[in-house]
Amino acid sequence: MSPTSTGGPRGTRTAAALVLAAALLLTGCGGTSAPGDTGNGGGGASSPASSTSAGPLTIDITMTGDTVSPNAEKIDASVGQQVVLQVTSDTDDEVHAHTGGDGYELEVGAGTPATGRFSLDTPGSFEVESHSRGKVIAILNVR
Amino acid sequence: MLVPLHGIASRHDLPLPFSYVVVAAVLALGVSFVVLLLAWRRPRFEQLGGRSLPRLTRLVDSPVVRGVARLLVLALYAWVALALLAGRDLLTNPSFGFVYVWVWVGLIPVSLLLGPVWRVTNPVRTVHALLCALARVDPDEGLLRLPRAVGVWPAAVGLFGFAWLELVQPDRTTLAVLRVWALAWFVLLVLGSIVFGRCWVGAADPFEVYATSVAQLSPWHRVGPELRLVNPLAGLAAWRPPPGAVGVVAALLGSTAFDSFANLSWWIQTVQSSAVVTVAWFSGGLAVMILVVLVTFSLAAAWMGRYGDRPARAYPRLMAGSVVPIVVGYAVAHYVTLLVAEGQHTAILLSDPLGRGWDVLGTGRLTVDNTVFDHPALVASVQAAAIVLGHVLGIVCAHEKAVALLPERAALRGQWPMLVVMVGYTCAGLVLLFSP
Repeated sequence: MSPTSTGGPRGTRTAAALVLAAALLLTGCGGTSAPGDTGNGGGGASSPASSTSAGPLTIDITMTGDTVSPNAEKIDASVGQQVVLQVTSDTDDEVHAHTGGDGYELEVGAGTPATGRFSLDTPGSFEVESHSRGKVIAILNVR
Repeated sequence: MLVPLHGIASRHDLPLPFSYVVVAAVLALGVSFVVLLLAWRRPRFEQLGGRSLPRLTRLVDSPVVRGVARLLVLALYAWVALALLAGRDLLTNPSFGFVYVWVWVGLIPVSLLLGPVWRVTNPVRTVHALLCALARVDPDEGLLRLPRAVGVWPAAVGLFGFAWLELVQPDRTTLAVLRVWALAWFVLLVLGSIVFGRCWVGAADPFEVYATSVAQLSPWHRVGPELRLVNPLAGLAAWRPPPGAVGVVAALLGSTAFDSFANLSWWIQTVQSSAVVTVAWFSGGLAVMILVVLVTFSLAAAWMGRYGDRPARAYPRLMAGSVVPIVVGYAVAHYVTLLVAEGQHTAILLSDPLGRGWDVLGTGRLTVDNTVFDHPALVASVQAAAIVLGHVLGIVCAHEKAVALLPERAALRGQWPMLVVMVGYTCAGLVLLFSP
């Protein structure tokens, strides 16, 4: 005995059609708008996705006491871009950039400005963190 | 390898593009009202239907198949325990990826595709069965009876505990921390099953209870002793959630939502500028998020008591299954790239559990295929589609339950708060993935 004796098949078809329509709309949406067009971050050098010409993204980082500046700022960047970190800190610390794979590490001595650079090779969202203070300095949204 | 501050992955998904959020939210809203206004008015899934599978039933019930499956899974856990107890305290220790990715995320696809296989192969059950065989006692017999009303509340507490470990616990990717939690999990479950019999595992193991809830959406369903291939929605609607199921789904949905919430700029900045320690902020945020889900869902379900013939407090548990697809949709959107990339990474690391350059399983020389990260638009589509699909299935299941539980003329009025709450969960999930 089929369980769908009360006009059920029509309901199943309606549900299936809705799901299909949802899938089509979503994929259609993917075709018309690149995910790169929603830049909402601050401070960063936003540039077109196919960026061979994007200049380096310089982030000035100051760490004093228990605070970091920038403080968890979201920054837009593009694939292939260079990032330059200019860091001063009043204590010994390490700045980590988790860029996928092994990541990037910059040691900073107390009172001695340090400069480091790395490149953003793949899309994704990456955190730049102060290791000793355990704080997020910036989040790089790489598109 | 640098240890990230949060979690085990050194890479996160890009924010969901705003256009995706809008389209997905409009779809979710539209489908919800179509279901409310146009869908069936009498229950459709009262009989499970489906195809009976006598040969498959015999196969999966054969003691040989079950025994082999249980021993294989037990061996896998023993192998990971070796890494956990004797391995090196580095992120290259496979026990981290095993717990946070293979178990916590992997149980979703396993349960969706294979049904309640997690319960059958649960290593705690296997260990308990072996102990009982040695002592010649019945594994169902305990020293005390577990009251029925306890249901799966212990597992709800356990899920909160795991979420706390995953999202709040400092140094969660160090062996010292993971050993304590893993031992606590194992000892509490084994001791509990000696006291209460093996029903304790089904009541208290957070992973088994999570997996069993997700398995309700699988196409495999038992009717009596017989296995059937059924419409997953019919299977879900037929589920009678145990007491505490509301706590379980609230812990799951709330903790996943909090993981996204904790990535908002506003939240990180507030926590980092505050004099109050981070652990307090995160513990509070996690608890509040779970409570918000628990309270909103319970109130929306209790509203049905105005129209049905049961007391209001009976409805949250009866409706709890409708949240399972939403939980799954959230989890897929949240973890799909982690599962693909770190899942592979863990398979590679498992070949060398002690960090001595071994390649026991032959996977050690493979490399992680990171192609998934080169297609952010595809990932965003999968995320948005998972949330919308989870929402649609949840709404359809809630509608089916409402027309089954309420008189025909009152079903519409009885279910609209549930619909509003579910639209809220879905839109919140989308906005959190947009991650402003």
